[in-house]
Amino acid sequence: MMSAQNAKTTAADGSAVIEPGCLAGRRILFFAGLVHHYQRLAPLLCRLDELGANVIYATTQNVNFGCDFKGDFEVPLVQAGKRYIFLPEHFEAEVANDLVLDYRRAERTIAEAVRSTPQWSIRLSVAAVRLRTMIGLEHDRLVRKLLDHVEPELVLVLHEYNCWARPLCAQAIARDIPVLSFIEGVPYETLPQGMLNGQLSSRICLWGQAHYRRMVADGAEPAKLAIIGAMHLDIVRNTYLAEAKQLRAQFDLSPKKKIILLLMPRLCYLDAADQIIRALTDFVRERRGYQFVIKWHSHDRVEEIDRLCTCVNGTKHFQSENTLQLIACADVVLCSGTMAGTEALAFGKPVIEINWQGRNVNINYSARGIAQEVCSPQDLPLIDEIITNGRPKPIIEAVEKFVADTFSTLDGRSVDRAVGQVLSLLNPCTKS
Amino acid sequence: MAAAEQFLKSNNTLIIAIDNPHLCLGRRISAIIDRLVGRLGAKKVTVCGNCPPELATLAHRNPAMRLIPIASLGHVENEVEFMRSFNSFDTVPLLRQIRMPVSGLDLYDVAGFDGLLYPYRASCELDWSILDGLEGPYDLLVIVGGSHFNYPLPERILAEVKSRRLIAPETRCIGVPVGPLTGPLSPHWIGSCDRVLLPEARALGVLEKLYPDLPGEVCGDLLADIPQPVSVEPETSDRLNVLIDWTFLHTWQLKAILSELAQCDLRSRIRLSLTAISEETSQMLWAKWSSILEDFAPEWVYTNGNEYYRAVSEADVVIGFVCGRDVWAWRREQGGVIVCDFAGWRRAFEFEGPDPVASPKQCVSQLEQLIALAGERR
Repeated sequence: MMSAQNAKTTAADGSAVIEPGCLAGRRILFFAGLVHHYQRLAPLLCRLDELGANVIYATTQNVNFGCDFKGDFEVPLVQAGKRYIFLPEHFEAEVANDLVLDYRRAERTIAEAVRSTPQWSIRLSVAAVRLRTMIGLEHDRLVRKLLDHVEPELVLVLHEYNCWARPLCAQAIARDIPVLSFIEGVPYETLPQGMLNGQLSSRICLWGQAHYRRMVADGAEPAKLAIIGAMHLDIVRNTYLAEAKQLRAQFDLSPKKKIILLLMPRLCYLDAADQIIRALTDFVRERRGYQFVIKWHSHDRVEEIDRLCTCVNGTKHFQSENTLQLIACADVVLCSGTMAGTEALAFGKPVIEINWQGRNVNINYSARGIAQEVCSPQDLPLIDEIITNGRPKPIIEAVEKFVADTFSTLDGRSVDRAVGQVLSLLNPCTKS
Repeated sequence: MAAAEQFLKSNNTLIIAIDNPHLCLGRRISAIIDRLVGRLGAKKVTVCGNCPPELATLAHRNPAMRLIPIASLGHVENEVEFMRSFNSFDTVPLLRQIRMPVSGLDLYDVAGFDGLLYPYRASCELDWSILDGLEGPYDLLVIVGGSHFNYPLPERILAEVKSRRLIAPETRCIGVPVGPLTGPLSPHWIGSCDRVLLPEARALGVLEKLYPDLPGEVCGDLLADIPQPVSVEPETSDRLNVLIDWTFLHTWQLKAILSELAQCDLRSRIRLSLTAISEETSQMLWAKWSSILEDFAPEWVYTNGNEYYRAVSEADVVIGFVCGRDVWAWRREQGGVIVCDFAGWRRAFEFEGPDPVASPKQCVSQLEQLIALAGERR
């Protein structure tokens, strides 16, 4: 990555000039609304630090209805050694008394709704609405305190479609503080139309034309949209592919065998997980030249994974390891409609969609013609076919188009372009 | 007690049980239902809900009792249809009426796509078809338990029995709340009851404050002494067992106490236990606060089993929190409970327990006093 100490740099679109120290002392508030928000924006945040910005990190408590504590938002910040403002710790005592009237009013609203329209309470837990209301009311006040305290010149969030980031974006916009947001991934096919309208951002950085079209169709102002590329992929793709041999050694994977990588979604989204794993294990066992590797979703419980692994011998398992590094090592990637498949396509890897009992999670790869699917153990020889003969030409062509459309350009300069957007929001006269 | 006897006359009773493992209500709910069934003398008692496992033993013992547990079906089959169904809540005025005071966003806008999706999914994945097994007519309804974030149980079951005319319009509904009576985790269905049975006068006072028009009844012999988690012999040790019993609402307050404890010279005098929902919870805490936790080498107490009840009984001191589990109520006789409220929630939620401490310093100072008292006793 380019050093801040380097001489001035022109952003890849030829417009913004990035000079060393050009962000010295600028107060930029980064808010992590979920665990991966920091991880996704880390390349940009590091760069902003290098350019002298005063980046203030903040996050809040993961209160996911007490189901468990998977993914406390602050953990990546702790691991990265960042000092951060933890909203409840800093401001909860200040807002608690103000909360009383709001909460009482909301309680009355809920009670009236239960009496007057009981049908909703038959479908949605009243307790969940009450708790979410209390948490929402409190969070709204906490982010106000955060903005009072930090007085940022710019608010940076991964995206505005998150219950923690959204009130912050709304309040920042109301105060004329610019909000720079990004996009988390490929728009899920399950998301309702009209949702990705960017109404609470001043500027939204997109990966490619596919995002642009979707957001414009959803009502976003085109002037707010800037295609910068996928930062998380852009920087590492070529590096990881070049280092694939070393990575295989690092992960203790066979240097000679074909790596069949299964990218698991959250187990709750894959009913037939045990059947799929068993079938793939049996399939690979019958072939000498293959090695079966499973990348488990980082949020799944160890005991659940252990339960599924009891029948699986000789398979390599990874959970916390870097998915993109594993993709770089793979010869064939199997996924079940999750966005990781898109990343595998960007790495040039053949993707096979698992459609065992229906239930594509987010993206229907086979319907888009960018992957072939396996629907049962009988379909698994497709792996042999792809390894021996490669993918059919129509799929290769469709993937090329898809990757270009989704990721625009993977030229290693997306962070520069994001910095360009930061500069243009901080200095409105800067061309972006 | 004669009055309670009158309310509880029934030939065919439907009890709606609402367990909440996060609040550790199960054992108490089972004990209350056991007594209720004995008291009712009904020919038939049906218990329906998310029943704690102990109830199966009760049902096995009592031929008049029938269990209709609402079990999980597994994952929703059609994700697109599920999302369409969830989005139909868009028209529900409730979620639009609750506006965030500062940002002006409505609750649906803020929480619609994640905060409420999880409980809605959980509710869609329950096997409601088992409600077909309800056989009325019931002449008495009793709701026992707390409330659960993911299960719209009482509303759903009541709607079923009403729509199928399994109860008459005049059928009484008696509520027996278990767990905290105030705050966001309190039983939300109390207002729908005709009468509420409570273990003692303090709880009745809270009810009168919250629901001035709702008749309440102290029903000591039915409900008293229920909080007997597990009988244990007090352990004699040089070090005091201190259990910090926090819930997901209290993570930063837990950290504040641990930091304060770390600064005091108490490490050699206490043996610290911390509650956790799962192994992941404890791992997450290690990831965040390893430097603090290393000094204490805490023992983890998982709240999904007997281990928790035992730990609550065994501990010399339990540090709890407002709006969390109501350990202070269980240990009323035993004492040794410190309730923390560092955020002023007592006022917000009209907490019904003992006076809480308002800062980590006060908490540790009270702990020191309790340690000194225990030392004198020994």
